[in-house]
Amino acid sequence: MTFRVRLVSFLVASLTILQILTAGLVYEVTRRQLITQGEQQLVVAARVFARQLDDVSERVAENVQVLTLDFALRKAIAESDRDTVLSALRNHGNRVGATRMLLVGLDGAIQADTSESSPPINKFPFPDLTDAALQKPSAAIVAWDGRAYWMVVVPVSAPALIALIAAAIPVDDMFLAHLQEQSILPSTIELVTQTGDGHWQVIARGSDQIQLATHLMPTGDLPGAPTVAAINGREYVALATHLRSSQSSAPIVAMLGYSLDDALRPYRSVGLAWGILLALGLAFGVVAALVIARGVSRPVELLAASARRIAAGDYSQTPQIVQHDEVGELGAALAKFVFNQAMMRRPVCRIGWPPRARYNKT
Amino acid sequence: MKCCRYCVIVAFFALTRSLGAAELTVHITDARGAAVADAVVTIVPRDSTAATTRKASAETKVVDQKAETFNPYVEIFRPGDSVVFHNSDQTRHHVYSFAPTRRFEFVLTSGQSSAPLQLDQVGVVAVGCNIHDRMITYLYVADAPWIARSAINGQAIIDALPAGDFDVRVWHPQLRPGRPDSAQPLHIAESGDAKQLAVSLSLLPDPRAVADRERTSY
Repeated sequence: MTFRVRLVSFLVASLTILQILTAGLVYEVTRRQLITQGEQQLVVAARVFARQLDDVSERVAENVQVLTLDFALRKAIAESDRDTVLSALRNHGNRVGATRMLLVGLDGAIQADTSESSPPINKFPFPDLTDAALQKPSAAIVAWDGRAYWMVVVPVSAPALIALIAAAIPVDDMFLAHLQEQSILPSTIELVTQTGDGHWQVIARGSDQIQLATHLMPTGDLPGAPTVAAINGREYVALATHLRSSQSSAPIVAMLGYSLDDALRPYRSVGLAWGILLALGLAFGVVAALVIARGVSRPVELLAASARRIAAGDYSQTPQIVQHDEVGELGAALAKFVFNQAMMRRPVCRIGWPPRARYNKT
Repeated sequence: MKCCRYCVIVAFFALTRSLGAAELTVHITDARGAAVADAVVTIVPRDSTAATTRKASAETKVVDQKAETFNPYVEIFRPGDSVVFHNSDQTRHHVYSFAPTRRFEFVLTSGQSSAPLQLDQVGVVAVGCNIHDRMITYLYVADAPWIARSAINGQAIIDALPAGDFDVRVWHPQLRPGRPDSAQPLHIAESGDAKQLAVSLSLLPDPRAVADRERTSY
């Protein structure tokens, strides 16, 4: 491998490595910045999500409370007119989007249940909600029959407290997607609950269909602080936040995910343009390296050729290097050497003039 | 005959008078130590065979409706007593009760009074107004020998208690439903000294309070 090739290779390799390191550094800095941004967004989003749910809870509870002020309903309850109560509960349940309405006695016994498909229950399964409802309407997200519900419990007064009405409003995929459209919630959001064997089970999810919790932590504690995780070849920053639930319900956790790939997508066009610029720079660098290498290696090559001629006994040509550096000095010295050798070895004049001794003195 | 069940046993009352009767003051407070008004204190002798006192004739008491409020909040009745509702407001009131012991429902125009409603059965009759959710009153019908309602200072005073052992029960509309009334034993000695009794109640919020002042400006 010639000196020029090695020099060009060194320059090109140096340039390429430098470009790759720069690109890697910029990518990593951007990625870290996005992770930090994602962590901050998730913390805020978790707070906003919990607040949104609380606000909606309050509104739903107020709506259900207004329904319980219906005089005919209260009269039917007070007079134990079960058919009328069931009919009125179905009617009011439709108004607030409840899929199941229950009339609960002050002792917690179920007095009426609008559900015909679910197995009948004797006692209301979330007694802490009925207890709290004695003071004011209570609401919480609960896991019930493998689904997430908003369980709203309101007192029925006629005018003294005579019973409680519980409205089970489903918190489903559609609801979460609706919340995502209305706010800054991340694309990945899901509600999970813990099954009896400790596994996390997704009971509602937003627009993104990835099962974040089950991939991240099949059992045990979900990350309470933002955590970076790779799922199905994609990177996410994930955060779990426990929602206010009933003490009698399995825990309900909102799992929020921030997709780093999605976050990096806007940077891809910038990255492409930047890559093209890098390639152009690299091509220019190669040309420049070739020119520089040629400038550096050319005098050395001339000297090498001159040295080869001298070795072959050819003193007819002197190296022509015009440079004011060490290579130039070497060339000049070699040229002088060749000239002297040429002078010494030329044929002696027939008249013997000038005499060799004299010539040597000069 | 019905009234006879609640007639006065004068002899026993006179006897206790002659022996010297005691006065009982019950101090009723809530969980924060504030005086509780409108609590009903009933005193029942432990010996169920003991004779009891009873006023001679039935009374008719008026519950007024003024400024969209029933007044009083709690009224004590004896079986056989009657209640009359009077509307002192400029608006109508739709008075109703779904109590098992006494059910009624009628509308009173401004200045109108209802016909007397007799309260024959022992129990609590919660009365409301269908137009105004926060209007509520309780008619406490009891045949206990001694009964009193606590005043604004939280004190209920019962005098002329004879010597003996009693149960003192305290009821309030804002007690948690489904739980027995607060009950304490009481012993009155022959000397007839005045007795003091302190009762603390854990109460639910007052249903007459306006629910949300933040959203309403009226």
